[in-house]
Formats: sequence, C-alpha cells, structure tokens
Amino acid sequence: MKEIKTPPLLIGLSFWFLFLLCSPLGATENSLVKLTVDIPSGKYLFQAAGGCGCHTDTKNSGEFLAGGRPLKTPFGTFYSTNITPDPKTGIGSWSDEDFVRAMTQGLSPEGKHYFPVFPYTSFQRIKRKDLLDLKAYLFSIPPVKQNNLPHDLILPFGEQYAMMFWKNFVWSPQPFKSNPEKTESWNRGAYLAQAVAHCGECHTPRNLFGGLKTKMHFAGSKEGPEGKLAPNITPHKKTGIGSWSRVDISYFLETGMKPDGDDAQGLMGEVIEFGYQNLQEEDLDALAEYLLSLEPISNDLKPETQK
Amino acid sequence: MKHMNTIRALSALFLLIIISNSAFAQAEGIIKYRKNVMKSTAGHMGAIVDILKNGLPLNAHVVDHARSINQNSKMTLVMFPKGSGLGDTKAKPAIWENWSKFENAVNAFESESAKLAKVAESGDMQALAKQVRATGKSCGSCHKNFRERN
Repeated sequence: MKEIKTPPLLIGLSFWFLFLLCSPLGATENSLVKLTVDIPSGKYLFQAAGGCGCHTDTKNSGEFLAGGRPLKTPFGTFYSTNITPDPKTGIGSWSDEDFVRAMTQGLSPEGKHYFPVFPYTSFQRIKRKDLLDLKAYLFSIPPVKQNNLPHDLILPFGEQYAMMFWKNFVWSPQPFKSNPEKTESWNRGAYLAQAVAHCGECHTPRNLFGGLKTKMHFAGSKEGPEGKLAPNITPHKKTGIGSWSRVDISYFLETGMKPDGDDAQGLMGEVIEFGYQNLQEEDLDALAEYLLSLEPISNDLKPETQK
Repeated sequence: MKHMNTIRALSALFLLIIISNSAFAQAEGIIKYRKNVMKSTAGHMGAIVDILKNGLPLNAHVVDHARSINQNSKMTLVMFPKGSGLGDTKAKPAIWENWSKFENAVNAFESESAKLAKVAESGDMQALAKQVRATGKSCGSCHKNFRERN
C-alpha cells in the first residue's frame, strides 16, 4: 500500500515543477530574466514616491535630483546623493542589480551600507519590475555632474560597523504582503503607502536607534523630517485623521488642501507638488481606503500652544 | 549728578516698558483678529471644496464663498502692521524683512481669488475646481515663506 501512494505524489510534483518552469508568473518576480522596462511607468512610480525631492536641493536651487540637500536628523545632518545618470558622480554606471540592491538592501555597488535616512527600508517592498522601471526613468533624465557631500554626523567614525549592527539587530525587514481578504484597491493602496510612497518613514515614530516603532505604524512623529512634526495619519478621531472622509484624503493628496481649507507645508507639500498630485484618481482613492482601514492609534502630537 | 542720571535712566526704562506694553497689547489684538480672518478664509475655501468633492447640490453658494475669500484677501496686507510679529503668532519676521516680497505674495492671493470669484459666477464647476487649486497655491506659497510651521 505504501508503494502505491508515492507515484501520484511524484507525478504531481513533477507537474508542479513543469508548471513553475513554464509559468510566466514564475519569471517575473525577482529573477534575472530580462524584463522590458517602461519609462512612463517608471516616471509614474517616481511620482508615487513623492518625486524623490530629498535628492533635489530646492532651497538652494540645486539641479534636479543632483543631491546635496541637507537632511537634519537626531543623528546629524545627512546630505542627499546625486541620483542623476552621470556615470562618475551619479548612478549612471549602475547595473540593474546595483540599483535593486541599493533599493532593497541599502547597499552601494561597492558594498557600503547606506544609512536608513534613505528609505530602502520601505523601498525593499517595491516589486522588481517596478524598481527596474524606476531605474529606467532615472536614467532618462539629464545627467548632472556634482559630487556628493560627506555627511555631518554626531558619531563621525565607525559608521559602517554601526550600520551593520543596525541592519542586523534594529531592522527587521517586513516584505510586502497582500491581503486576499481585502479589496484589490485596498491592496494597491497598501502597496503604495508601505512601499512606494514610503509614508511610514516620516509618519511612524522612531526608537532610540532610529528604527521604526512598528506598533505605532503611521501614528505620527514629533521628530519628522527636517526636525518638524509629521502628523498622526491613522484614523483616530481626536489625534489622527479619523474625521477625514475618503474623498478628503484623496483630495488632500491631490491638491495639498486639508478639509479645513488650510494647506500642506514642508516636505508633505513637496511630495504632493512634485509627486502625489500626478497620481491617478484610483490610486489616490486606494491610498485613502488603506489609510482609513488602519487601526486608529491615539497619539497626540500637537504643541500645547495651539493656533 | 549721579542721582540725576539714575533717575533719567529709570524714567527712560519706565517709559520704554509702558510703550512696549501697549505695543504688545495692540499686537495681541491684531494677531487675534488676523487669525480669525485667516480662519474664515480657510473656512470658505474648505466649504467650496466640500461642495466640489462631495458633489453637494449647493453650487449656488460657491459664488458667495469665493467672493468672501476675495474680500478677505483685500484685508490681508493691512493685518500685518510693523511690530505685530511678537506674541502668539506664527508670522515670521521675514514678512517685515522682505515686505515687498510679502506684498507680492498677498497681491497674488488677491488676483487669484478675484479670478476664483469670476469663475464661480460663470457656473463652470470644472474651471472652478482648477481655480480653487490655483488659489490654494497662492495661499501655500505665501505660507511657505512667511508662516512658521508647527
């Protein structure tokens, strides 16, 4: 009896294996098979990422994506890098694998660790196809020759070891998981928010080591980018955006105008202006659907002296 | 002579305190006032947007809201007299340091909101949606340079 049971299993397994080999699905994700890249899709993704404005030194009228913008954090001042396709000072000499590794593992082509001020912690959830489209778009913009500036950190030595420690003990990368019980648009919104638009990098508070407090997912941070407050964007009625409707959120992401008629400022204003406002209505609505589905977290960040 | 000097210095100090106190009190009044006007501007803006994004059957109201915004825009510049940067306010000193730049920004708001009122009168809701964004931009670009963030 025992001997009879194995053959069907073997046949099944080999069919399954054959299926995997022939299946186009098997080839699309995270394999080395060449994909046809699509610059317009890459541009769209770029906009969904908020226009990567950290890499443009807008205040000093710096060149588009040529870096050099100071980013103040509790760990010191970082200067963003040149991501134009200049082969020497930018990323023009990067291969597809270099780009994917930088975006998903925070490693430079030379194997140096990037600081998580570059949100690879979110970008690691972006699908490979999307990453390669994004790269194709970045390689289509004008190259700018501009050397990167050294960071100005509070601990100016041993940073590579610190980053190795950080990656191994502080960071626990969570891959993007779609939820089959939710709608397709919810999943799209979740993907955009968690991976591409990287909302959590500013709107989730960080611990002493600069890791995101996952239990406070999207609940706002007093020390957001540029030392400014990043509000609670969970649907908590009093301290978050619980009083916002779905259309309030999508309209805000499209125009920067809050339901009370005030406007978004700072980095949020920038990511809307250079990015989110170009997104399709369905995507903005998907983001709103996702945000409103989050667990409401009470986290009051407003300063005592109000308005 | 020594006493005279002390008395002079003291009285000068008193005078300064009295003047600055009354200036402060005045600044407090105008700060409260301009916050209320700003809030009403934002309120009208929010109201138009509510009508637009929810498709409320209140298109007729849009004209009044738009006109109110334009009225408010005309009051905006004089709400920022010199010396009203001290106190419970988010107004940046840049306003008085770059007065002509500030003036330009307020003028831009005035002309955009005048257009808003015109478009509202035309009843073309699609054009209105566009002009709401343009007007909002004029608010935002002024706030960007001249309003302190939280």
